[in-house]
Amino acid sequence: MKLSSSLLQAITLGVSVA
Amino acid sequence: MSVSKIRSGVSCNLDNQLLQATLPLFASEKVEAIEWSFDTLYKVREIPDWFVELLRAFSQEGRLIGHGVYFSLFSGKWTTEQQRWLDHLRKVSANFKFDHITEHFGFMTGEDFHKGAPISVPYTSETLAIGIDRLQRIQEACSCPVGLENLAFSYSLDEVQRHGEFLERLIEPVNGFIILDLHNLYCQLQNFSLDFETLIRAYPLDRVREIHISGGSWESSGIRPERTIRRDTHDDAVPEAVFDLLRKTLPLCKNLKFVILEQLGIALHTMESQRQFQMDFERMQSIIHTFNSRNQSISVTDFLPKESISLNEPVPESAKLYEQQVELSSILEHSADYNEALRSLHRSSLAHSSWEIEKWSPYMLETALRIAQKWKQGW
Repeated sequence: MKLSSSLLQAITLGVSVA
Repeated sequence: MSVSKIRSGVSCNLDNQLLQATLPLFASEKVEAIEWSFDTLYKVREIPDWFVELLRAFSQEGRLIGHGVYFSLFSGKWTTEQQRWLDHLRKVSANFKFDHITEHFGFMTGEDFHKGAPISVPYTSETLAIGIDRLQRIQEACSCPVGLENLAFSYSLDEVQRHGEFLERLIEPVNGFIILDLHNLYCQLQNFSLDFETLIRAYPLDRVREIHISGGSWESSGIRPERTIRRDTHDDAVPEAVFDLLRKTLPLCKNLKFVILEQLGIALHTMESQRQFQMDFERMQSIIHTFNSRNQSISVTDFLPKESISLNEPVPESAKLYEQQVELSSILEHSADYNEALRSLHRSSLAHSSWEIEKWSPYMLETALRIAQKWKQGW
């Protein structure tokens, strides 16, 4: 399923900064 | 009745390492569904907006499924925590559209609601009535299809062989379904030296709406060190044998809708383990896509109750069952070893009862001790 690029960015940022 | 393709998904919880491992799969648009353990956020003060948005994105496409951990379906005593769990499920279901909700078979051994692990109960008319009542309450709270997962752990061969039939009787009143956890099945095949064709036919396969696959671990028995026990620890790669079971099982489950890869975040702390998780997902998906391409139309029943459910009042309970569960939990959590547990059990109220402790496999009692002691401080 395709997720919006803004959501993917938010998850990436959220996970990376714990 | 509608027509659908089988969807490949992952367990998706608020766990950094699990999300790190899953992120490349999200980015490459491979994840077709997510399974969220909606009752595991009790320690989290604030849910990040992006996690809510992730849940909502899958929910809006009918690709979010919920998997409970703590309800303790067969607890002999109805507790305020269980009512709170239902209230929480009702609230969460109002915010997210779940395609279905599932829980584990068994009762939780822990001394409080968020501790312990699910282990089995006797298959009696009393436990059946309690289980049916609790499933009806879950269905009433979430207003969507409700299912139960087969257990990895069994006390005896007799229990393994009767598990599927008892599951079917439990879910029938809510027109429910089962999650067939293939690693759990693999544990039973190994621990009781059974063959797949015999054991799989003991399950109501037309009631399988979801399959789990995962990894686990081998543990040597302290009773006989050369004997190894397969444990459903969710902390390693999916074994080749479980992929084989998936290939064999797909054609048998005409109402299958989701296949979910499970793994605990604690086992995904290295880049290598995260890459292995991604490869396991891709392999699982490849098997499913191959099956989907050869089977153009898969009929899917809705698994919703056929008539409106009226809840029992008062809530069915069993003081005797609850006392036995407390006694068993205490023995499992506090015995120093197998021999002490065995002596305590034979002196307990479980002796010469429907628990049939006299038939329990020594290796499985030893395993029950290890499971209860591993999780007695919570997850």
